[in-house]
Amino acid sequence: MPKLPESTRSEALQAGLFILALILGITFIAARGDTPLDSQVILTNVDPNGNGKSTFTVFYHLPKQAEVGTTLTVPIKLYVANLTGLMSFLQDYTVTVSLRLSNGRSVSGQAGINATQAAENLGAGQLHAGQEWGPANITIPLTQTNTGVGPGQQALGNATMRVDADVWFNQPINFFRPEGNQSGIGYVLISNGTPSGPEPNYPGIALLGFGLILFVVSLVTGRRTPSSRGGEDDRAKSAPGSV
Amino acid sequence: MRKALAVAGGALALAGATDLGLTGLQVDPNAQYRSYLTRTTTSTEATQGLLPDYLDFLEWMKSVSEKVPSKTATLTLEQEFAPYALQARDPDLLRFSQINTGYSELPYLLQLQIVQLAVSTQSPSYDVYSIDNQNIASFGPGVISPNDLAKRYPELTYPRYEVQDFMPTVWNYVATYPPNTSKGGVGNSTTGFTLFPLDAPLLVFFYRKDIYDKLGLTPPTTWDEYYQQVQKLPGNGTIYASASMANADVSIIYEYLAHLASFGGSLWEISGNTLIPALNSDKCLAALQNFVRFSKYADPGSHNFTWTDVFTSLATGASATALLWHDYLNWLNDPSRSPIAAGKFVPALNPAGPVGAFSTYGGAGLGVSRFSKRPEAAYLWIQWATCKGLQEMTLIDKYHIFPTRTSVFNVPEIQSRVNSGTLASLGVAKKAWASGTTALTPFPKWLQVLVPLSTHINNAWTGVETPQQALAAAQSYIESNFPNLSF
Repeated sequence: MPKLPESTRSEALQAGLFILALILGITFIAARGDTPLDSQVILTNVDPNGNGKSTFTVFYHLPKQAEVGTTLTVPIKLYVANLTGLMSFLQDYTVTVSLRLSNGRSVSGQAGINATQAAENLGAGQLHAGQEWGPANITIPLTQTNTGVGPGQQALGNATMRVDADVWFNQPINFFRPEGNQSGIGYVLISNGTPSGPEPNYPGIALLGFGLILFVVSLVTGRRTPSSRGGEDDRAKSAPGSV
Repeated sequence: MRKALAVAGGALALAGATDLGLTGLQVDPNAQYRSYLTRTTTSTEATQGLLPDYLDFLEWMKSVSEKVPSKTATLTLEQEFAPYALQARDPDLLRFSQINTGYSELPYLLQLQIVQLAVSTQSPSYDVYSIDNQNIASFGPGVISPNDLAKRYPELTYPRYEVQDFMPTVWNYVATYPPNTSKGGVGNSTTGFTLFPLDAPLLVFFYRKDIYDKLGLTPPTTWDEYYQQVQKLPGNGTIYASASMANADVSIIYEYLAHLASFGGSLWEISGNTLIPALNSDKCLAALQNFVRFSKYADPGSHNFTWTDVFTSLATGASATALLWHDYLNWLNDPSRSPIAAGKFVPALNPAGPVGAFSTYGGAGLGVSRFSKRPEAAYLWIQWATCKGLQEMTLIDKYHIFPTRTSVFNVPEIQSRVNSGTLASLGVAKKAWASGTTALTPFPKWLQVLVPLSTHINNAWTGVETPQQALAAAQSYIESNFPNLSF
């Protein structure tokens, strides 16, 4: 194998190190697998019969963008911040994330615990005030069919989060009542093959590059002009030690 | 021409540089959506009502949490008040560290099975175990010693954690193994530091004040006085006089232990590293006779009751008195948990035997699983769960968890609340700690020995065996099947 020139080897080494660092960085990020629950929404429900009020806090992370052909994942954690009056515990509960798209379509996903699951292990899944459920992921598959976003198109999705629950009421009611409430949690941009992330500022780079080239060319041309007219005088002027 | 070229080039370069300066090296093709895609993030500024010690820990945790590689932790805890109180404070942990915990809270026996399975199969399913003090020898090898954690992760070790601050009993019986069984011998040497002490529940006497007032009774100070009272109680507002946790498992041993200590007895003679069963002693017999004489006045379900069932018997108005963990006062006062008897129960010191009144300690400690794939997050969580600041908060929060750290009561904010009477429910626990406590002694074969021991004590409760027969049978079985018990 022919030996590469020193400069080429150095560049290749640098490029190799860069790619290695990139791979290691990506691997590290992937290995962590933790998405910070960086947002929260508070939902309250007042029993129409005046028997109590429930307050839930949902911590979540809503991605800003998602591609058609992938699954939008919203990690959540549900806290029962408070139950008042006769409200005792959540017998079952569902958290739903819905996207109302700017093209008129809607997609949604949900996660939750049904009454049978909550009753397992002597009611370990039933949530009293101060208890939580999660972490859990709400997944919404994004297809061209369900989003209506064709190749090269985008749609803005208005996301809402909804918590539905059956709350057990103590005596004299001794029965559960359904309740639910929702709130907007932000927007998600759904794209289909269109650039979804930051891309290089081509116009700015092009302007700068072209301008610099012109400027350099003007300098180079400027240097050549005197020598064509007989530049020996210039060389004599700049010779070291000349007087 | 050259000058024009230079001017044009300079102008273009300047324009390009300006554009890059203003827009950046990269542009967002979806800039028109930017205003829609802005997120409101959770804030750590919601510090209202947090006490200074707690805030100090949270700020420290925030400053180090970036060093935690995986920010999730799964926890297996008992369905008890300290874990409930931690869970209610979990949003603080999430906001300040972004550590996302998954709580599994199960009744004692189910949680015990989970820990047994996880340790025996070396499963990484759970990062943190809560372990009751009597089981520490069985599962201690499944956790990473706090000393090792501090050495392994000095940057994740809270500099003001202060292990010297834990109560001596808690330190001797749950934080360290083997336990310091020398009465009065205390010391917070970190030798044998195994678990982080979580809670300090004590078995105390609960009585229906409305019924006692109606009958002109006062809380009994001796077992004999209590025995006279239980004969008068049935039919005066409740069906039964009392309820007992007499199920043939650790429940009946907990309750028997309160009687046993008050008669000056103990289950084991401890000599150095060796345990010899002492069940055939006169003190053990007198204590068991004292215990089982209450059975005919107790809720007949008692022979199958654990503490949760005793609570239900009280809460539903079936029974008027019981020995129960002191923190159940939370639920006994809660109309949603105690629909019939809410607010009617008052805690008091246990009745005394010949050597005094004793309360059984039944606390737990927390350990990072040796098989955890995320020990850093687990370590941080455990420090949060047992730090002084959090204990201050959970003392004043709705569950009023009795702290395992002595210095919590010296905090001015806590003192003022105690003095103002808003933490009155702690009074009996403080008195009980001062009066006298007893605890189960952990050793590796405890879970095996528990089976014949609890079965025969339960037999005495149900009348299948006399107290003498029950103790003799338990002694004989343990001697022949577990001849060399040791720490």
